[in-house]
Amino acid sequence: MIPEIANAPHPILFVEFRFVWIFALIFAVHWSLRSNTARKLWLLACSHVFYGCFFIGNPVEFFSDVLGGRFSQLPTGWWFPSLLWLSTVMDYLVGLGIEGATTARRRKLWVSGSLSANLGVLGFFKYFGFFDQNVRVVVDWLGLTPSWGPLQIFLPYGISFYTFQSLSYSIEVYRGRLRAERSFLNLAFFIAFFPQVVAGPIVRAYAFLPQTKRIVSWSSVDVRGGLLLFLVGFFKKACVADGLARISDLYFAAPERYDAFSAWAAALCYAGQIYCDFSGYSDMAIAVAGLLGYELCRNFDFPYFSPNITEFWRRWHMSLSSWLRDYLYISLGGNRGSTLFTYRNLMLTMILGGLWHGASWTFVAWGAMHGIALVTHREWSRRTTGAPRLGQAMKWIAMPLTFYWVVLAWVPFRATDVYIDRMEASDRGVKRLIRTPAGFQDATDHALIYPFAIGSLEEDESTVSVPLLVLDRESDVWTGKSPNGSEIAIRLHQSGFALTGKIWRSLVLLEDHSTKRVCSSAIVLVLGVLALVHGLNARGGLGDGWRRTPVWLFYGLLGAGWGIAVVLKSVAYTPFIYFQF
Amino acid sequence: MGTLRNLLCLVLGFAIAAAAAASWTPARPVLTVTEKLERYAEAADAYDVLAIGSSLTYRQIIPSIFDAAARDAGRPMRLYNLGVDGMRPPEDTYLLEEALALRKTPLEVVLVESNRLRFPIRPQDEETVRAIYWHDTKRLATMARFALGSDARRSGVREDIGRIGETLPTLWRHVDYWFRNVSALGRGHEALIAELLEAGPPARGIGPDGYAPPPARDGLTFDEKRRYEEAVASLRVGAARYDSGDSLSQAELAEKRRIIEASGARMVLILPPDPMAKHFFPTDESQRAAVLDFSDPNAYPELFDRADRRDPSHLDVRGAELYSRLLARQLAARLGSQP
Repeated sequence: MIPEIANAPHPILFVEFRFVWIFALIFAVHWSLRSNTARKLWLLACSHVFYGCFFIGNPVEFFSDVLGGRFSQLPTGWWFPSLLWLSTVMDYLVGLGIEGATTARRRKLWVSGSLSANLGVLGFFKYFGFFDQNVRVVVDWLGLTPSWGPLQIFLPYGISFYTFQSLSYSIEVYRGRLRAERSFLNLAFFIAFFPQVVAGPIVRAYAFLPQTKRIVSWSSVDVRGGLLLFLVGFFKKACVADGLARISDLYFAAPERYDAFSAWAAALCYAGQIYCDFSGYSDMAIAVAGLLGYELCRNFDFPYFSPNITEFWRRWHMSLSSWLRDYLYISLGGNRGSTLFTYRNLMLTMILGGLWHGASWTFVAWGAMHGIALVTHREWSRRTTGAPRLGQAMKWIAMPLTFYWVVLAWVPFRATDVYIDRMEASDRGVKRLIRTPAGFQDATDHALIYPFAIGSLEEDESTVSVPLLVLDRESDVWTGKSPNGSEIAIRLHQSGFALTGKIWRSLVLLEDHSTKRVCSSAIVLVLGVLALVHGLNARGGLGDGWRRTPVWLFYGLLGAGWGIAVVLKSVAYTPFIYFQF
Repeated sequence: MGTLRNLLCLVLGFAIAAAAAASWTPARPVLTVTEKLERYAEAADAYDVLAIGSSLTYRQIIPSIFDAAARDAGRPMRLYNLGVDGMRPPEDTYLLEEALALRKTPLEVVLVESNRLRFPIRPQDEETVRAIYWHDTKRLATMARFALGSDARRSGVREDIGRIGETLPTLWRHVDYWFRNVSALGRGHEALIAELLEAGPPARGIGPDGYAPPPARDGLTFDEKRRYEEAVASLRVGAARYDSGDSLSQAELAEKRRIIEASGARMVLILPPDPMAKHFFPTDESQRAAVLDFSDPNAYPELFDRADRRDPSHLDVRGAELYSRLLARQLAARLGSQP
C-alpha cells in the first residue's frame, strides 16, 4: 500500500491534451538543433522537467512558492526528482570504477556498491512500509504493542523502472559486455529519457547508449509509423482500458454484490484493461521516442494468444521479463543445475518479479502463481517430449488454459489489501475520498469513484459540509447511485486475499454471490469485438498496407482516426496503472 | 508545401470524423445542469421569472413559496430556479443563453445572482463534464482576456509578466476544456459505458420548478457560529459589503444584461444574504438601479438569524422560505411600479 503524496499534482499523461502541446515544443526545438550534444542536452533538460512536474506540478507555482519562502505549501515529494540524479551520478561513477578496477575483487566491490545503493533506495521507498506493516502484525500477534507509529513513506514515480534501467548498465559493464560510458550526458540521457522514465519499457544500456553517439537525420525517422503507433497506443489506453476499468472497478469494489457472470465479465475486463493500459503506454512511449529519432525496445507481443505460460512471459512486459531472466534468474544459477534447482530459481524469480510490482502479499501470490505455472509447464514439457500426439491434442486447449490461468492470477494482482485509506465519512455519506485501490495519489480520484467523472461534485467552496455523494452503508461497504444513475460501491477495508477468494469462487465454481449483474450482457459483444480485432492484429492485420497509401490519404485517415478516438476517449483523468509500480 | 497539405488533410479528417461521431452519440449529462434544463424545457413558456446563480440561488429560492408570495402581493409570477451549486460567471452566462433559447415568448424577469468572474476551475470540477460543457469559443475568449489581463497592464511590465506566468497554466486548462467540448471528447465513451452499465437517468431530487432542498445538516458548528457572528457583527457596524471586482467581471455582467434584454426580459441583480463574502456590485449606474440587495443585516435582520442558517453562507430551509417570500414581495413592489 502506497501512502498518498500530500498536495500531489496530476502527473502528465500521454493521453492528455497538454502533452500534445508539450511534445510539439520538445519536438520542434529538438529537430531545429543541429548538434547532437545540443539535442541531447535539450532532451535531458526536458526529461528532468517532465519528470519533475510529476512531483512539483506547475513549475511556475512551485518556484514562486520556493522564492516566496512558502515551503509548507510545497508538495511532499518535491525533492524526489533528485533521486534520479543520485542514481545517475552513482552509476556513472560505478561504471568508471569497474572499468578502472585492476582486480576482480575490486570490480565486484564496485558492482556490489551499485546494487546495494540502487536496491537500497528502491527497497526503502517501496518495501520499508511493507516491512514495518508486517513487523507490526508479528508484534501484535505476540501480544505486544509497537512503540513506534505507522511509517508514511511515499513512493516516487518510476523509481522501479529507472533503478532497473541504471542497474542494467552497471551489471553489463561489470560483465564486460559494455564499455563504461565516459560521457555523463549520454548516461544521464539514457536513464532519464522522458518517454520511458516513469513506466518503461526498461531499456538496456547496450541498446540505447550507442544511439546517443550518432546524430539522427530527420529523413531516417519513420514519421508515419510513429504517428500511427501513438494513435494505436492512445486508443488502447484512453478508449479501451479506461472504459473497461469502469466495469472492473465497480465489481472489484464489492464482488459479493454480483453473480458469476459479473465475475467473469469483470475479470476479463481487467485482463483487457491492464493489457491495453500498459501496452498502450508502451506504444506511445516507443512512438514518442521514435519521433525524436530514438528506438526503444518492444514491450508486448500479443501475450494473451500465448500457447503456454513460458511463451506468455516472452510476450508480456518483455523488457521486465528479459531483465529478470538476464540479471536475476541467470544470477541465481538459471538452469545450470538440477531440475529442482531450476524450479527453485524460477519460483524465486517470479516471486521477486511479483514483489517488484508492489509491496503486498497479493503481488507475491501473483508472482507465485506464475512461478507455479512456469514450473508446471517446464515439467510437463520435459515429460511429454516424446509424445507428439499428446502435444497435438493439447494444442487446442493450451491457449485457453494459459489465458484462464493468467486471468485467475490477475485477481490477487488487482485485489489490493485496503481500498480506501482515509475517508471522512458520516452516517449519511462520504465527504471526501482520499485514496483509491490503485494507489493513485489524488484526493478526488476517479479511478474507483469513476461516476464522479460524469458530472460535477455538488460541493460549493463555501459549503464544504455538503457531502459529495450520498451513500448508504451496508456493513463496511457504502453503496448508492452515481450521478448518471449507475451503481456505486466503496469498500472501506478489505483483505486482498479475502476478496480474491470470493472472486475465485465465482470464476472457478461459477458461484453466484447474488443475482445482480455488474453490467449488461452487451459486454460479451464488446469483449468479443476487442478480441477479434486483437486477434486479427496478431495475425498481421493490415500489415504494411497502410504504408502504400498516398501520403495525403494517410494523414486524412490518421486525422479521422484521431477524431473517432477523441469521441471514444474517457473524460476522466486516469493515470496509467504502471505509474504506481 | 507537402507538410502543409498533410497537416490540412489531418485536420480535415479529424474534423469530419469527430463531427460525424459526435452526431451519432448523445450529449453527456452534466450533473444537475442537464436535469434542470430538461425540466425547464418541459414548460419553459409557463414561467415568468428565471433565477440563475450558485447554491445561494439554487438552495435558497423556493419557487412554490416565491409564486405564492408574489400572488399575495398582487403580482402573480411563476419562477423557475436555474441555480446550480458552485456556478459562477461565465458558466452562468452560457447556461442562461441555453435557457433563453428554449423559450418562444420572452420572460418577464431574469434574477441574476451577482458574482464576479471565476477564472480558476474548481478542483472538484476538474476532469468532469461540468468543467467541459460551458467551454465554447465565446467563454474561452473571456478567459483568455482575463488571463492576458488588460487590468494588469497598467501595473507595469514586470507585474504583467508575473501575473501571466501565474494565470497561463489555468488558461491552458480552459483551452484544454474548450478543445474537449468542441471535439465532443468522450461523448461516445460515456454513451457506451451508460449502455453497458445500464445506467438510469440522473436522479438528484430536483423538483419540476428546479428547486431541491440542500442535504440535511445539523446547523452551525461551534467554530462556524463564531465566524458567522463576527461577520454579521462587522456588517452591522458598517463593514464594506461590496466589491466591484475587475473590469472583465463588469463586462460579463453587462453582456448578461444585453443577452437578457435582447430576449425581451429585464435583468434584476440579486445580492443574497451571505455575510461571509463581499458581494460583487456593478460599477455602472444604470445597472445599480436593478439591484435587490439582501446582504445588509440591518435592513433584513430576519435573514441573518443564526437559527435559520445551514452553514455560515447558506440559509436552511426555513430561512430559504423567508428569503423567497421577501424576494417575491420586493420584486413585486419593484415591478408593480414598472409594468
